[in-house]
Amino acid sequence: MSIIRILMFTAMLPATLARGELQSLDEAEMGEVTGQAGLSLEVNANIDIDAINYWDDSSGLSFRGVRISATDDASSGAAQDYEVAVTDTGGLYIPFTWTNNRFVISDISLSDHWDRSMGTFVADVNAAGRLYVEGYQGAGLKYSLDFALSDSRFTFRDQGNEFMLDGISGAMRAHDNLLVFAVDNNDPTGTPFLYMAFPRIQASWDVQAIRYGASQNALATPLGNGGQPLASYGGLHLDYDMSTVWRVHPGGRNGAGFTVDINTVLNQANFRYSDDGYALALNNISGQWYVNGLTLDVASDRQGDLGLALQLDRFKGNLSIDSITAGDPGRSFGQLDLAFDFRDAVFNGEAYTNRFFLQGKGHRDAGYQGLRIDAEWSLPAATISYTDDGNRVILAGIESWGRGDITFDVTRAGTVNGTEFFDGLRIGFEHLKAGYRIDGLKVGDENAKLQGGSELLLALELFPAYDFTLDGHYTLGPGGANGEGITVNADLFVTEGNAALMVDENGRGIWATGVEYDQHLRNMTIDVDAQGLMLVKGEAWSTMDISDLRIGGRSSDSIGRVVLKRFEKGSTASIRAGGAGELCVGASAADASGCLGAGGRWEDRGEQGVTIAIAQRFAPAESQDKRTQLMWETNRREQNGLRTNGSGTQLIIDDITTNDGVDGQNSYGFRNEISVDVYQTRVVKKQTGTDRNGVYGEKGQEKIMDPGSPQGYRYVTTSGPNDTSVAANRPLGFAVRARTSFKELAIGSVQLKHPDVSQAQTIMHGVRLQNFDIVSNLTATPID
Amino acid sequence: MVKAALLKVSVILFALGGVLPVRAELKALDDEGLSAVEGKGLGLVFEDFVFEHTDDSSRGQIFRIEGIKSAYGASKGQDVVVAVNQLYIARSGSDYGGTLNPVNLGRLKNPFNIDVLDGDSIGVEDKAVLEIRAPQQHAPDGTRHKDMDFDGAPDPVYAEDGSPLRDVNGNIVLRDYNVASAGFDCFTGAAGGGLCDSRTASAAYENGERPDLGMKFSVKVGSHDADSLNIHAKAAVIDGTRLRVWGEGNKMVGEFHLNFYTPELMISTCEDGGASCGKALKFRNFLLELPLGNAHQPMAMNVNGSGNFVYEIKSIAQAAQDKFGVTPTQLPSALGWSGGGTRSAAQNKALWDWFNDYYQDPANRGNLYIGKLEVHDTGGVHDFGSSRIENLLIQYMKITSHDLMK
Amino acid sequence: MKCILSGILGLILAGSAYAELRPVEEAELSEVSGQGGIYLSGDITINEDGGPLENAYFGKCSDGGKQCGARIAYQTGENGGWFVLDDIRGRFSFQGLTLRVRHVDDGFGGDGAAFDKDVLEVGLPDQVRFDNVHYTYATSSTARPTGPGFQQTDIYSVLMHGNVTMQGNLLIFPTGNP
Repeated sequence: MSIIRILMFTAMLPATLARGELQSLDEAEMGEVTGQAGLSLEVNANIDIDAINYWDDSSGLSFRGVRISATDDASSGAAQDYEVAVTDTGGLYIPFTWTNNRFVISDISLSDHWDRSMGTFVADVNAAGRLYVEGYQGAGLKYSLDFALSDSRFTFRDQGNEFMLDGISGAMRAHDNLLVFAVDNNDPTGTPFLYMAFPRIQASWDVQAIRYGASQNALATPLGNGGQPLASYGGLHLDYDMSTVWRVHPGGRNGAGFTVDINTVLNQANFRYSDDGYALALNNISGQWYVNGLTLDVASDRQGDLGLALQLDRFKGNLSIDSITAGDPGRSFGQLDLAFDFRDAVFNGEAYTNRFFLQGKGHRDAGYQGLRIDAEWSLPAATISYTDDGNRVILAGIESWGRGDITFDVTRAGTVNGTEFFDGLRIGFEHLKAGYRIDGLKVGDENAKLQGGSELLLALELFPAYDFTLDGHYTLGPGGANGEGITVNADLFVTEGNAALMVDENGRGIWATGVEYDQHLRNMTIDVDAQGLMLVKGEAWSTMDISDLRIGGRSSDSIGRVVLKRFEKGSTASIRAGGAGELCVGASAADASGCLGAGGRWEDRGEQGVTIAIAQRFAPAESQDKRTQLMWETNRREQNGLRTNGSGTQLIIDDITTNDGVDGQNSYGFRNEISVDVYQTRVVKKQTGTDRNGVYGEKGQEKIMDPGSPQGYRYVTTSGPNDTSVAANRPLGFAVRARTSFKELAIGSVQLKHPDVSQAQTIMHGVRLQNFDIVSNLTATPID
Repeated sequence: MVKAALLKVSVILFALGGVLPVRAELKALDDEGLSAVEGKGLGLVFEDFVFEHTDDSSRGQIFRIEGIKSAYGASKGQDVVVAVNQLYIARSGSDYGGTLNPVNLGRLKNPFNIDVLDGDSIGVEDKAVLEIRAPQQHAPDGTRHKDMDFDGAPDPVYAEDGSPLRDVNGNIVLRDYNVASAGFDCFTGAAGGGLCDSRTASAAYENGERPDLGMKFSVKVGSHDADSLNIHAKAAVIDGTRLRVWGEGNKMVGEFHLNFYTPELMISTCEDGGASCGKALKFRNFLLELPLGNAHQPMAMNVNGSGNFVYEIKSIAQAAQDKFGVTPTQLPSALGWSGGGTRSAAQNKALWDWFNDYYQDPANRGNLYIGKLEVHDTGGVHDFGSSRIENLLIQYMKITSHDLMK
Repeated sequence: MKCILSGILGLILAGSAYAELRPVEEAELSEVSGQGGIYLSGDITINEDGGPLENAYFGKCSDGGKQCGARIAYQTGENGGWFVLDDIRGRFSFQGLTLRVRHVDDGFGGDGAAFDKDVLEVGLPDQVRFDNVHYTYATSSTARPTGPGFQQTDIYSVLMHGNVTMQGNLLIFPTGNP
């Protein structure tokens, strides 16, 4: 059972000291007892080990080419200084510094495929720290650790390409930790277990830049061939204050090994991704979670291949992000709360569990190195709640499941065996069968009635339920539109997809079934700027082929096949903090009194919220795939119970393009600006009588929230939209303001096609829509 | 940009009747009846439907059609403003739009429908056809005698001189109206009494599927006082109405079949704001079956290069030439007119069959029928009796607008 | 040697730093009741102060003399002229446009029971307030009003303002051979 030792070894790797946001590294807390004389140890380590093998039963895990040396000179040793002092309390006090240490693991392989490697891991470390250890009531150890990192670096190398966390610095402190053997009084077998407690871990870490290099350098370097720093994705910051308790029981999932239960409280954390000085930040994160039955061993996956297997029985908890900000300070999207419960469950008649097999070699054409995760997850219950200016909207009844392979490679642009690769970190999907569904929205609090609302966001392709088989990749390259940022290239292939365009909690809705969806993205840059997030697509084309569009359930009647092709060049999308702000609904006016006077309703939807602005620049057709086209096919011939695509009659709206009202200019595009808020709205009863909840109202009366009423609301007669006596108690809704505008949307032709004739007949030789600016302010509430 | 002008319409050719004698009267569209073609595509039904808009400046209500200029007479060039005082669709029994209650439009088993048809099934070979249609009619499975003209007796067949036709025994030959056992009379709604599928309102089914619809409007030309015109239809049915379009050559062509049945179509003219309408025309049992274009000679709606509107129903002779390469002068010999125009006499059988289909298909024939025309005025009700135009066949039609304001 | 301290756990866990997790209530995570669908209130406005095009023909509504509405032109014959819906403008405001999927198995004068299927129900708002809803129907020689030799004949214009009664449900459903 050497795995614990391995774990402890990795835990030691980043242990060190430098500057940091933690103020309390003072001697007093650890070192009141430093009186005793001790031992001083200067180590110059130059270690080269061919392999460290770990065998779990007959399955092996091998770390090969393990080396410790100086960072910039493999022939020099790594300088490590230790002082060991015995304290008055009988403990050991060990301050240490590591200077220019390099730790390398050249390959990590599993015994069934020695020719597959998880890649090369290089850690360049400057560290300082202090460890204090003393006995604890005769049952174990009590210890405290401070350590800090400065000017350190972690590199993942895959076939000579590097993905690097550069300029790592920070510090952590964890005092009064316990490592004891214990038994649980409630356990009749009285089996002892290892009890590890970390009452408070405080840490703050910064990564100056995440870099990518295809430099083929012998070892990790932050500099490219020209001596310039490698291109950067941006920087990271993470600080946290947490406590966690681990119980390690003997016996793993396969007999040997061990099982861990973890209980964690996150008191506070902050995360920032920064790009050229602007940050996307998750502020003041807190939460708690527990993990049951976590095991780690070497085991076989579904295909019989060995992997380092992480499996768990249950992972349940919640996480609250007090505010999400992007760009200039103070621009907040609002608050996000998550609750989740990963555990075994059955979805669509199939049982799923939570387990991940880590294996060597990523994509088959990306060389022998890389990471592959044979993943399976099962999340039968989760909620996401979003709070905007104090108003809440909850995505209720979220379920998600999936199984398949996810690969990670660091790749260089080029085509190998027909597979096109791009510069960057490639995240691949291989036959990933997955899905999710959302029961609906609740606005206000958990007790609110379930309602729809995701329909208003269909323009963003947010489906309330979707299951699919996914293949393809996202490759994240370094650098944005300028400076730091991310460049995305992607080819995604969805097959056997089923997507709900709208759905209720019983699964009834509008279903797109038999979906095949190919998406291709070239040179899409993602940057954080002063206003938020900005995405620019170089070129994008996709084909969404919906075999059947059905009303009702997934096997209800179909209106036929619908195919949507899109071809865009230079499309942009921005995500901004802040919603619709102040607006006049039902009239046009610039201020509250003007709006009131014109018979409208003035709404101040506050500072927070989300605004997504999309400008799609549809380009002239270049090929059968690269064109924007909408097709409806019906009356398909049936063969073996299946409708044959292409055998029916088709209505084709072809070669849809945008322009600026002048041929050859296409900068304005088809714009959609969508702001999402939670806001009060006016709900008027449409018919006299009792509603679905048994509340009586007369036609024209308004729904007014009243906690004293049995259903929480009643219907009252009001004087109209501006009745101030009821304004405060109007129901909250999911408020979406959408502005669609374009200078010109041109349709090349509208055609009808008969299956027996190759050439379609044109019925419209062009449609030109010009000068549109459509604004809709719609607020969704439940149907009562 | 040239400002508005009233359309000047040139009807180039408009032919009534056919070359071949046709005896079928009000025969149903038996090849495309409800039983033959069950629904396809996307169905639409309106449930509990009411629509109303009004023009009433005192209540801030405006509904106007403007921009038209008078094209004739002393008022030429003056603005024409049509104020739509009321436009409504509601349950039958609305009292000419006075009481609006909900109605259903379309049936779940026979809804309004949008589909892309295989043209092979409707005589438009190797073409896909976009169809938008109202509920379909039933195929007839029997006949019945009816009193449609309110004279208290079953309607006769009329001879060419306008008198009832008598058989060899001198008995009046009664007219056979087609009915379907599953259908409903298009006027009374009697079950089994006709080919329509939409049902009337009843105590058990108070919405019904036959709306009252109407429009009251006033027309103002320049500074002249407004003239009012009101049109109301009771319990109207448009079953069998359809629009089909497909591509031919380099343009959109198609057919539009309009069916409109109402037990009472009332037209009255009143002074705008007048308290009572003294004069009214009432068309009792009003029937309009108007096919514009068909698979043989589709219609086309276009705008020409100068921006003028062109509406054309293709000439049947031109269609024959396009399809068979037979010019109009060659038709007599190709069809064997000298031999009596029979199939055996025809040189070109396919052409003869094609023409025969064209003339025999009742769906290509237009009908207008008024069971009884009444004029209501202060002097009472004047009965103008029954009138009908039957088997109207449009062989060629072209309408072009001319911009008079040039 | 195993030293088993059964009391120690309780001791440690009593400390606040080891506070047990607040259990995530099942109710927060699972959902059994409720109705799907949405009730929409609000407005939809077309070209309130003009659209994004500004040229010899289009401009802001406040800038008199130019068209500020939207325009749709379509051509049914190759190389012909264009049908045009021009100067499209206006606002529609309403409460109670509903959207849901509904199972129909009764009503409709007996048709419902035989139908027994799901439909998409678009519930029309009782009243829709129109604000200066306008369009012009025209024919034109070119697709764009900025095209060479542009000539347009406006045939008529419609102006609607005020409350329009639009009541009932529009039911949409597949009717057969897909």
